Amino acid sequence: MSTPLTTTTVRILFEGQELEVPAGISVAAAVAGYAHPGHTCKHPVDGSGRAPFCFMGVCFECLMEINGLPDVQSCLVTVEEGMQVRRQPLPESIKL
Amino acid sequence: MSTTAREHDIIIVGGGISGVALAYGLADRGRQITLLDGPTATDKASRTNVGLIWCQSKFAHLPDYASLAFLSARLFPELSRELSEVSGLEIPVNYRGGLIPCLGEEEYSSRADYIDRLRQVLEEYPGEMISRSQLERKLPAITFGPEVTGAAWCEADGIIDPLALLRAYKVALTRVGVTTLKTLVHQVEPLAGGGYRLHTATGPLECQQLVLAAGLANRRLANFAIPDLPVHADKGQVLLVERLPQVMPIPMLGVTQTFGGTVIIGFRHEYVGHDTQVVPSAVASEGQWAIRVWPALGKRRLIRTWSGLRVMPKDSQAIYSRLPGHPGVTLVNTHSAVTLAAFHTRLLADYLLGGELPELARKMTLNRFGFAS
Amino acid sequence: MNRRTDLLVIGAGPAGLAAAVSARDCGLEVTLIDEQAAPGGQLFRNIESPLGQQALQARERAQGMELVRAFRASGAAYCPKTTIWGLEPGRVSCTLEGVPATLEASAIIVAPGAMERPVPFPGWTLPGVMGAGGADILLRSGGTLDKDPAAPVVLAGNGPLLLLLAGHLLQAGVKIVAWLDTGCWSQRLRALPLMPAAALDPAYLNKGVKMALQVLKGKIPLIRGVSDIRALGEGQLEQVSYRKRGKRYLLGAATLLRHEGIIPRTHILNSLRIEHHWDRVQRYWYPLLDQDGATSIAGLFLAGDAGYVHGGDASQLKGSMSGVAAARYLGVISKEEAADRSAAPRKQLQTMRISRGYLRHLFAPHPQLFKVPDETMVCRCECVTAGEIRKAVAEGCTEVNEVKLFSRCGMGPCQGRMCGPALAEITAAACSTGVESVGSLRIRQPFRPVSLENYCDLHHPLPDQQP
Ligand SMILES: Cc1cc2nc3c(=O)[nH]c(=O)nc-3n(C[C@H](O)[C@H](O)[C@H](O)COP(=O)(O)OP(=O)(O)OC[C@H]3O[C@@H](n4cnc5c(N)ncnc54)[C@H](O)[C@@H]3O)c2cc1C
Ligand code: FES
Repeated sequence: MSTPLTTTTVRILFEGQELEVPAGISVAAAVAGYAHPGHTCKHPVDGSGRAPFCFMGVCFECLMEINGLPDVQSCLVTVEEGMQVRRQPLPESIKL
Repeated sequence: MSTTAREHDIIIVGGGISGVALAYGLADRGRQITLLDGPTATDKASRTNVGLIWCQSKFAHLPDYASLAFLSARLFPELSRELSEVSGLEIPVNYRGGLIPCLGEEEYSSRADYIDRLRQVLEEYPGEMISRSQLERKLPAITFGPEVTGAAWCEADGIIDPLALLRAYKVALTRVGVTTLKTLVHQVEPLAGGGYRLHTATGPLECQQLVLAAGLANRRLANFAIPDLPVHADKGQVLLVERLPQVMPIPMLGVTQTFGGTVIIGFRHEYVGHDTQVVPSAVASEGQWAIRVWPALGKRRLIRTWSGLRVMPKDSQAIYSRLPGHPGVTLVNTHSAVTLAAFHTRLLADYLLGGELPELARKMTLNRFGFAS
Repeated sequence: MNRRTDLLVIGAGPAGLAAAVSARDCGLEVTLIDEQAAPGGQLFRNIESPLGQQALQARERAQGMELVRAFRASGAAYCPKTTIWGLEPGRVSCTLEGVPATLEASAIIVAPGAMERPVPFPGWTLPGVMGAGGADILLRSGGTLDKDPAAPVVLAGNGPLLLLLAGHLLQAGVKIVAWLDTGCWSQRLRALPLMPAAALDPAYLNKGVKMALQVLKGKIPLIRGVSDIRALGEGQLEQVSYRKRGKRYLLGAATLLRHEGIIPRTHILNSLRIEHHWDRVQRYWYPLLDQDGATSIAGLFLAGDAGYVHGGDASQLKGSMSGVAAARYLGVISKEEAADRSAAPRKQLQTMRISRGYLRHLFAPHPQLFKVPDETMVCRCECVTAGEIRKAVAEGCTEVNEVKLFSRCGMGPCQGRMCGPALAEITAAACSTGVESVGSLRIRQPFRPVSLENYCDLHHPLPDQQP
């Protein structure tokens, strides 16, 4: 783009990798647009890899684990300094 | 659209789980069977239920009815296998028993008393109270809330995917020669020379024998013979929690994991006519109970609420009956048509063809409400 | 927060912001709720940051910044990061930064906007495949589509937004290897007679010409008359295949952006059983509203593209009018004042509607868009294929809610937002009938997931019962 960015940034961790991204953007946009990770979630029904599709809260394909909490619709969460983000794992037979 | 009435041998009105189960049972009897099912907004109990094949802990005051559930449950495995084969569809089902969790000592002991009473009236009863630690061994993947004292356990219970069952019945019907017509019946008219004319959305149909299995709509359809059928709408409201890993190999009543992994919460009974609105405060009380039983559920996401109308005879017992003055019309109404599906398919055909009711169901006619049949 | 106010506005896009501003002008107490972190909605996303500003053309940027400034200055209370999941007349249930709350108001204006029409095709769940709208949001967040900025991108579909996105991508130096045009030329020709009317709206027309010029100057290879698009790859998009005049072609691609137009978001009003109509050209459901956006429920209004897609500036006008209508509904202003205040936006909107009528045909979705092969996954949540939908129809289902029950299509957490349109189109085609007669998915509340405990805590439960 023509004019340089003059926004403040925050740092988040995706799968341990540090990303410096503009403040105010969504976690899904930060991960997809800055880490380019391929899939961000294993689908619980068919096990296939999925990634954010709509970026506006419609498709539920952007589920990730944010600060230890699974199943977060990451396109509706704003990045925060130090946020820990991981791919959404396949649900195992965990104790609930 | 046909304007002239067409003659049918036996017409069954209602394509819910009762109607299809009865139709399938009649299929190999050499009669021409036609099933009518119409799109209705509220009367679709078969599409809102949990699919429990439930025998335990009910009807101590109606021992025959309690026994009927046990009988039907015994017939189920062979029936569901057959339906799968005929339809070519898989029907998820398990027959590993069922549990009713108890909160606190008081609930536990009153449940225990009830089971003692049942055991007395039924003579044999394949269930018992189990302690909290026994419950934990049965469902090791669930961490129960501190108030859970134990559960009622019965090995005869089970759970079936109710939509898969309905679907398999429907496909199986097409394979065994039953005709299904999609149409809404507006009214039934008895004909002077015997037989019946059904006024439907797609024109009149005539038949010699009629089976009314249209759930709540039976009230309206039977009113040529009975102005006020003692059956009412019993509203159930449920919550649906998102898909979880399979952690409930044995179903619990009131908070049940489905074959798809979602959890259905709900057990209320309300008599509010045809109202099907979801009342948030009502479902919230069910949700709170479920969280007390299974605290981890509280953090999981609720994805839907809905309500459905059960078909409840006035005394809670099934009605299998000819209509007064109309030996050609049989009426079937029950609020546990999933559990009783195997009984309906395997043991009611003779009655629908003019024979006797099976021993256990003899007292379930309309006579008990003072109607002579 | 358990408070009653005059007016709750849901959505901070052009419609919601304008509604809040005009209602404040009329003297109402207003609270505006939105799930994003900052005002702007889809069109003016992030407009208060340089990142969002850069993504817009000068005229739109100025318009958006002015609108948000007016909103900030209006004195309306603003709840960002707040997701609404329940709505009853006069009452809204939401999660406010993780905490559940109910808000009460004498009037409610719903302005959730529009979404991209989801069109399934084989391979559309592969990472690397996105909606064009999603890609646009990604760019406006300063990110890139691929690690390698020169990795090949394929655009596919039809609609003004795709043109806009192509412009953005060219600006960002992305390599677009093809634009697969899926539009229907017979529909486009039908737009021709309406074209003169578009001259009534020169600013808009001008914008369209500019966008088209950009695409041409960037020399994007435009491939017309494309059908049967497929995304191929192992765990990640590698190739795009398509059919043209009976022949199949393959393109290497790291990203595929598909866009087939914009449709109203109807979940909230659908869950309240408000009547919807079917638009045969644009092929979507839209709610029945009066000219100010009033629904059939007293005190409930709808503004913006969620009512019918006319675009951002039209949404802003609709918002202003419904803000005035809400003030009139509460009796705060007289009938005459209301008429006076809405006169200007009403007139502007009328002109705009005429000019947009032309776009309605020009960018009409191809009627065969949903003729996808059986193996296409239609429901992304429950992994239900087009073949399974057709099978349910063959078994006798004639209505989408019936097909849903027997196939699970639409039963997942997105509540059919992604599969609903395709489910209806495929069902209708299999029944050899129109979409109007197979119905639309019945939406249940909560229309967004909420934790069970939040829901229960909020709804002051009745005394306990047991099964
Ligand atoms: C919340 C809930 C949970 C339940 N859980 C269980 C459970 O776990 N186990 C269990 O055994 N039971 C359960 N039930 C009860 C069970 O679903 C019902 O007993 C059963 O569905 C009743 O079947 P039916 O065929 O009589 O009525 P319905 O399922 O209501 O079917 C009636 C059919 O007739 C059609 N029809 C109606 N009127 C006409 C007309 N005029 N012309 C043509 N067609 C018409 C309707 O469209 C419908 O298809 C539950 C019910 C509810 C509401
Ligand atoms: S990317 Fe679609 S819901 Fe988040």
